Amino acid sequence: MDSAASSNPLRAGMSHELAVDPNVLVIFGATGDLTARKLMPGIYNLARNRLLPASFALLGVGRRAWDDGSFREHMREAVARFSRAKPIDQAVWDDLAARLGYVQASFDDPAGYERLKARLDETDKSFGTSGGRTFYLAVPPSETRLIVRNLKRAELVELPSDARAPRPRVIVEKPFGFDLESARELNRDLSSELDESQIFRIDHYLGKETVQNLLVLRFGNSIFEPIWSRSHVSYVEITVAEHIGIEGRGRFYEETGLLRDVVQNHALQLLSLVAMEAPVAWDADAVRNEKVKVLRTLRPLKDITTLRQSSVRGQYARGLVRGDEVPGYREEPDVSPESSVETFVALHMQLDSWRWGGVPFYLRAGKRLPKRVTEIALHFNALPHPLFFAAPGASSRPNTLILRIQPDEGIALRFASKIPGQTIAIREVAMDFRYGTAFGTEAPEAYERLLLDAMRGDATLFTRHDEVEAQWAYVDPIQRAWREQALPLLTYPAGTWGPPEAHELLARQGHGWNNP
Amino acid sequence: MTVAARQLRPPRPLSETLRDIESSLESLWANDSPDQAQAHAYTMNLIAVRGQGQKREFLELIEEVSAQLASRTTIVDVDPELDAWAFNGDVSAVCRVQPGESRPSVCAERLELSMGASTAKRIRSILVPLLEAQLPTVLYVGLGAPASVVGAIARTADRIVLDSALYGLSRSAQLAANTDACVHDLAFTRVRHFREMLARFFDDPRLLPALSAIRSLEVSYVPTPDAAWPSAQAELLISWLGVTLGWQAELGELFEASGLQLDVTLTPCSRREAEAGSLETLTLEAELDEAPVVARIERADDGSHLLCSLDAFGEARPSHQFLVRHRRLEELVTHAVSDVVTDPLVGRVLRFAHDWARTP
Repeated sequence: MDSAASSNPLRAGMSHELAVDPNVLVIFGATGDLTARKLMPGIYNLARNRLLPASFALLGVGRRAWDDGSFREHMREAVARFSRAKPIDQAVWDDLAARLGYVQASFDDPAGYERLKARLDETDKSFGTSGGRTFYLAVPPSETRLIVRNLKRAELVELPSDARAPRPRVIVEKPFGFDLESARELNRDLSSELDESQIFRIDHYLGKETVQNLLVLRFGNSIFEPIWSRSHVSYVEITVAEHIGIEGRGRFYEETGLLRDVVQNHALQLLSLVAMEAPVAWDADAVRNEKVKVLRTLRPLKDITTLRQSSVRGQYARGLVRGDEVPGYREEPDVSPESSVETFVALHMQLDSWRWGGVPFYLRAGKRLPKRVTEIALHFNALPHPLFFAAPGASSRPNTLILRIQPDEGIALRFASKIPGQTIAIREVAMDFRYGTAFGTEAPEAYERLLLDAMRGDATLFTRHDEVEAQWAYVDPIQRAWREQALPLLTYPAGTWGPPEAHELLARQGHGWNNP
Repeated sequence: MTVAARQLRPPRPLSETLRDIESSLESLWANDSPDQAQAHAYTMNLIAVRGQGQKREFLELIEEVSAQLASRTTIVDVDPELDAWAFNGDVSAVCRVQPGESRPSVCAERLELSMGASTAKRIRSILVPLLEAQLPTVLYVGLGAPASVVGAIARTADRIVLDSALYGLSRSAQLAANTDACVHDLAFTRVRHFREMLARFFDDPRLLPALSAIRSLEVSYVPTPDAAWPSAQAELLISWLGVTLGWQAELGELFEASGLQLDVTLTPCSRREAEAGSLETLTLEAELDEAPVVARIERADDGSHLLCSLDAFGEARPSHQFLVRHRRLEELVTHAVSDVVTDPLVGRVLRFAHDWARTP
């Protein structure tokens, strides 16, 4: 990151990592759910931890007839309800509230952008934000292009000629298209208005502490890299499970499905991080280059035979989840009773690379599974020769390294240990590290980290255009085959780990899912 | 789980007492029911050395700090009222209830070692066997902690947390000079806001040359009563500038790198409800292209904000407020103990301040 701060000798010894230049964060869609649940609480917690620059302001842009006062009130309610830190620190809130403003505008109205521009100039004068701009588009995908085009027309996203002047940035929410063609089109449209360095495609999974810790674990310790390959790893599982259903988003889900909602982005991000080579530097392009390489090594699931053997799609039916009876997907509001949309996906993937050739990567994601858990499990090779007998009732499973992303973030290593006694009896034990017990400091929410990074201009934890396209290139043939009904949609009772066929996907290879 | 605590009886060979402490530690984790196994977690050894007076406040502070951090905590108390060879050890476990659970499931050990003056001379050989190997060791220097004990333990520590305003400039500078450990000075931490605000003025690259042409500095501060170093924060701030900008201290004066003498004024003041030792105002005057540059930072009357203003390039820029949140001592110490990043300037700043103060 190139910043004026880095050439200032008075900055020596201070952490540059978190230095944010003066900035106005402009949120389009400020009256919506994302702002209330995630963005405003994130900004509040950044303020509480004094990570925002002294010269900071936030402008909300929306269609609703709010003003500064009502915007502040709504945002206070949102923070009080959704912030991870409660109760509200009044001094922090008062200081932050004074920096909040609202511009009512329709996203298609050029006059609204002129009003925004005028308001930004005023804000620069009042708060010393010196032209620093970060635009967050917390809006439906259909409005992204429109807003970017209008920002461009209003000259709000121009790159300055002076390299030292602040560069406007635009944060874009997923989904980034709905297939490869639309993703390419969206990228083309955005690139025609903005430089790639200005575009921050957000996938909030990348802001999670444990996801970042995955990279630290792999590349901050010398002991793991030598065993992190086909030489020692038998297979890898990635599970992204939720116990909740679609939570009233029937209309959205009918158009999206789980493959697009979760697999194309979050799950493939996790796969990239587990399978990537060490980057040459901790910077945005070096890291993302390695992630794109992983995606390009994914063996396509193109022909129908391979798809049948390597993928399972399911839809939850009525069942019991955490003791409660829950309706099936087709009984949810706004869902067609004949819907063929998937709420469960399992894939057997292969990476054609030196590191991972021949190692199956199993991925499963689903709604209305028994519990909410996201984890990655690396199963190591079996013993070449079992020297010891297992105690009765104990299993002699190969070692497993489990990276728990949520909840209860942590890392567990399962290994064999001798049971104290006269004989050599073996039992599996777990060496367990959990963030919550090891560190007393509260972990920031994902959006806090990502908002700060975007304002700093650090794109390491954001998705690049070629990464998005590589993700779609893998997923496209799968969703096409499903759309054409070439593969059956299997039902599973809510509260179970998916259709039995998902288990057979592994059993065929002599493997089994690690059910957390 | 049963919490075990045994009182050790002096006087006898210190190693016997040490053995008793180690046995107590072992029995702390033994339990009759495997189903009720407790997890003990630590990520560091925390050694807290107490001076005389304010025992309750000190213990409360350490209690709060170790509740935030998973650490094996050892409190060292040299008590002149005890027999010179006295050595007592009290072992307990502090357990926390995890969210969503009904009983404590994660515990960390606490050792309270009290000793006489002669025993204290062997503190390092007593402590080393009690430290959890493979983990970093953090030394927290409490108010009035004996320098000899601190110095001995410092050789084992990876990190030292002290408050130079209370420990004293000379001792702090000497400690920083004689240790490989990272030194974290709470007094220096307290000037962070002023450092940050001053640095921000010069984030504008056009103003950087003015740093080589500073002519005067005025700092007002609220003295810390009864402290070993009442003007610590003010002098640390100036010393930080000195180290960063290559100044020299000579005969009680300061000279910038070009050799020009700096006009430095430190003025004690008072403000109702001001925190003892706090910085109140800073005015920096410099020259840029033969025009004045004046940067000013001023604490608001209620102490909640810093008001920052800059006159440069012939125009006064609007002043900005920066919210300053009061951090309790527990927060400062917790952060200092757990922070993995240490300001590399601390040792140099302390030595500069010492050199500046030492000259008449």
